[in-house]
Amino acid sequence: MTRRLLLSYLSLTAFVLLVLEVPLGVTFARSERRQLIERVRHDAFALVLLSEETVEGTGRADLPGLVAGYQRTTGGRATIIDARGGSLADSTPSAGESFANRPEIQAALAGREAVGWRYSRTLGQRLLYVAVPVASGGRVHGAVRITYPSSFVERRIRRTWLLLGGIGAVVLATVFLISFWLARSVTRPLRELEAAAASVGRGQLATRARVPPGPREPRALAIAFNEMAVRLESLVDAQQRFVADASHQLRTPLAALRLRLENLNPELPQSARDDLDGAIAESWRLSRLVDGLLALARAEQAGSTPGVVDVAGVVSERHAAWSDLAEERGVRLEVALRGQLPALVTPGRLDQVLDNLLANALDASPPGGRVAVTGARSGDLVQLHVTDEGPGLSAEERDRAFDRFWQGATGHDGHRGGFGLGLAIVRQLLIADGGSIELRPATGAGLDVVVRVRATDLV
Amino acid sequence: MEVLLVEDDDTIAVPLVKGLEREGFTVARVAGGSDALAAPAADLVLLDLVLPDLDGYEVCRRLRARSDVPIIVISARSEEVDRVVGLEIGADDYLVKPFGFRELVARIHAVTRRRQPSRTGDPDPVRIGPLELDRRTRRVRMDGEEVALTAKEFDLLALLAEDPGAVCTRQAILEAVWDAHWYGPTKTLDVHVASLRRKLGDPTMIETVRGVGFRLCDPP
Repeated sequence: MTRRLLLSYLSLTAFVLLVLEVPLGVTFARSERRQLIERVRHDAFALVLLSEETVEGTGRADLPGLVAGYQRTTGGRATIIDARGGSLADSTPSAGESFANRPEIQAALAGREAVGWRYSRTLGQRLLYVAVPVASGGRVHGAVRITYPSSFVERRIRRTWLLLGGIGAVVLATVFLISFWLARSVTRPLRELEAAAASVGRGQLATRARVPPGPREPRALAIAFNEMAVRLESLVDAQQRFVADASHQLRTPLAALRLRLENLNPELPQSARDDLDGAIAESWRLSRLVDGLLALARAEQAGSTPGVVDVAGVVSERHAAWSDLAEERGVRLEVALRGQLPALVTPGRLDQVLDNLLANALDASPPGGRVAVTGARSGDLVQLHVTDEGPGLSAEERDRAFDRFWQGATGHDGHRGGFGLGLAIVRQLLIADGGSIELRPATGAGLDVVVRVRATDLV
Repeated sequence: MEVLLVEDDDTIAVPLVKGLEREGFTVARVAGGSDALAAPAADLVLLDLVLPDLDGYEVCRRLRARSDVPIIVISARSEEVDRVVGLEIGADDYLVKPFGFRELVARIHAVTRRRQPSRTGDPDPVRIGPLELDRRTRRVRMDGEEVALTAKEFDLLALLAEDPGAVCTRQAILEAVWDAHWYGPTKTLDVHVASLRRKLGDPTMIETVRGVGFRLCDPP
């Protein structure tokens, strides 16, 4: 945003500079050339006046001294030529040279004044020439010619262009500084808003954006954002209250039901005991279901208070806890993690996640099977795999496995006690900490559960 | 033992009083916080947190301020923070509704035992075959060798040892040993049984009754 604003300010300034400075420079160059021509003509006529009598043979002026003095003071080459095109005096002498073949001399000797630019093979560059006839009484006695190499005038023009360029650069630099400050102040409210939005996104719903003074649009945006945050907070509050209320409202009648059922126990004949035990078990299942739903609801609104947790440490702890049971079931529980794997997760959550995944993996494993936990850091993530050699899940089952109340086929031991909330809770807990979970088919048979959490460098 | 039940909801209080009396307790029931504070001293208080006049926590704090009577909070709130607050302001235990009598009675006994460690009537160490279990010191010996158990493992073994040979259902174990309304995979129970079997060194001592629960084998 800042860069874009800067770019637009600078390109606008550059355009204006270009539109103003280029014609200025061109006009300047043109008038510079015209001025030079005017001056040179003026000088040529002055030289004609000074040398006229001598050229006609009546005066005794020092012609070589005259042209040499001219070149010394102005830098132009002056040449005085007699009627046949021979040199009478030349400020840059060239021995025995005849000027008769020069077009401007021919014109001057013919009585015409010649002004123009031509390429000089002798000098190897363009030159400005002015040739004026020295004439009196209708007779041409000779000519005065002044030439300037074009580099003489081009140098001046180039200096002007450089000056114009320098002014442009200073203007651009000033505009850059001002527009940078301006762009920062325009985008500051947006950057603040971005920080506030990120904070709300992390679950800190009480965060509000500062309403900036100044322009209307950022103000309106900040106010609208704050209204949204207030609404979001109250919705989440309402849901949390609902969860708390629902928990109370459901548990109280369940408690009464349970106590009354148990009170029936000594008063029922033996034949009715099975039914009573069944009824108590059902009330217990119902209360487990309420607990599960509340756990899920809490996980869905769980904030994240991440700390640095060594994933390898948690895995080896869970491995120690589960290895006895795995051994009883004849399942090999293998862990392959090297060194420490520091990650950013809310302490305790990864334990819960692994307990759920290991429980599922053990359920799925046939005796003699293998459950493996492997993990490594990959980029910004720590990636854990829990693989089993059970029957695995079809693609459709894998898609649905995170739905609440989804239950796969009965586990290997035929025990089917849950409500299909475990994986849904696990996923919510991971998402709250910025992690993820994915089910893949393992190579061969079985399921490969991939858990990803944010890696960190601190230990 | 005299129990003071502070509970405003009749649907809970009526069956609770009946069941506790059947279990041999003398129960006085009040429906409000101020009545609870005015009631004659009891051996134990069962306190609901939602009361019509006073906040349950406030009642708990005031009761604790004037005596060290054991207090068990019974509440429908299962949030970690509620438990922590309840225990911090002086409750001895925190039981989440719904619960069974078995669990309630176990907690009552545990709390009173903790409160009065020198009380006569403390159970003597239980002996079942090579196993010796001392509830007072929470120690377990196998063939005279001490076995180091975690708190959960000990509670689990102590529960099974209450009635050797009888099946203890998974539900009963989860209710009595785990935090009430702890929600995790029920397989955690199997995890602890497996590690208990290994530590005791005799896998046949704790028998799995498929689909029902576990029992401690009464050796021949």
